Amino acid sequence: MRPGQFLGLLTLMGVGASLGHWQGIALWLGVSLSLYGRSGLPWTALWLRWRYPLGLLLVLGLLLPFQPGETILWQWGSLRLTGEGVLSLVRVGGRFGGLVTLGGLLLGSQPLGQTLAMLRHWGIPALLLDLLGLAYRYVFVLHVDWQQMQRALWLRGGKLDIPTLIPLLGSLVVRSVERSERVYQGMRLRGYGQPWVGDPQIWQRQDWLWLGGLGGLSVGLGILDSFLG
Amino acid sequence: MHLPDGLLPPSLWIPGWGISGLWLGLNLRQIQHRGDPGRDLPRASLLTAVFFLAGSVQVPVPPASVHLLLNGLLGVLLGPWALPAITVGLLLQAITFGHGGLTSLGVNILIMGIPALLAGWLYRLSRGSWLGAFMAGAVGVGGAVLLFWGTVLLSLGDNPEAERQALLLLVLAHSPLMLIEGGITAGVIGFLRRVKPQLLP
Repeated sequence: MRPGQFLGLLTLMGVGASLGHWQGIALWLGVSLSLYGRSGLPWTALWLRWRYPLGLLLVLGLLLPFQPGETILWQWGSLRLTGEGVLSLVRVGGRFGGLVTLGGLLLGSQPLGQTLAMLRHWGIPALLLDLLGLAYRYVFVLHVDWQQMQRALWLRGGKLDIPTLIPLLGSLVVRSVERSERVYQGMRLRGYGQPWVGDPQIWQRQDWLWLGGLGGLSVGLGILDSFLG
Repeated sequence: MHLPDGLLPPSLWIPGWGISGLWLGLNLRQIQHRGDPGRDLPRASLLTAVFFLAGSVQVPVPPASVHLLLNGLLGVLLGPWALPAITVGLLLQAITFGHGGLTSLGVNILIMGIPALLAGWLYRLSRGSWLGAFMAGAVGVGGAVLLFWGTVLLSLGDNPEAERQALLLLVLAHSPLMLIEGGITAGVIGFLRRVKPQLLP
């Protein structure tokens, strides 16, 4: 992904998260979905990102349509489905959908290492990016350790509950800290702490075009939304 | 306990990014001034990975199951590194399975980070007692619940009295989770005290 595309998508996300009218949000959601479709990323990957927060949205879906309002669409006793509540749900759901779609596009279009190099180039603190890179790398290593520990527990006839979780978690913490000493030695041997000389993708003319295009689209949506008020 | 994208209005998520960014910047400066930050980096990274993994484990608590937060334990074990670790953990959760969000990341950092810092402070204040460890775990969850639902209600409603009652009800509903997390935090700290006491502050 080009740096201009990255910044442009961030702008589009920021503007979309600030839209207040359902018409503007629907248009922005359509733009987000079409950009995702054009990227060639699989739709199944997007569904995986949608799935997790859907629980909270379902709860909101049950609560929001019944919030107080003047336009009553349906009533059963003291329970009132209001037009304002339904619109509020459409706004929250639309913003959620668009942001998750653009977030998937932003982070799924290139390896994490490239994104980190780009962010480092833009002045994000190196310590934070190193922490992110190392944690991401060791999540997979520790996941294997965790599965082995759980398997050993099952083979000994145990099952995962709170009393067994405590020593399991404690052991994982101890193992990780011991491993971190070796990781530190390895980092020093590979020259960690020396000035960074990496060269991420350099800003070119096409980046201005991407930023201008996506930024212009964002500004247009923002202006449209303000006129709808 | 993470706010997804799209729920918060700009009047909440923009200041959320501003405050957490400023706090994180000051925190990283503090770490840089403590000497060789690279020395503690691998430990902080691996513990971040541990908490990320542990947070995805479902612990059966009949009749349901719960996910652990462990921000209190993180606050106790990592001290000044707790805030960067929470930031990275939340970002990883947002990147890998869309748990949380990018625009809501700043607010989520505050929701998890403030109780973690409070938990670490409580533990040190209690001079490493069992009760202090339990309180650290319980405060980690309790504070996060309070801030999470407070933010949700602030972003949705305009009825302060109803919001206050709903908040009280939601915090009470989460009190078993506070006890569980307090017990687990105290248990893990007790385990570390027996096995590797040098890990504890």
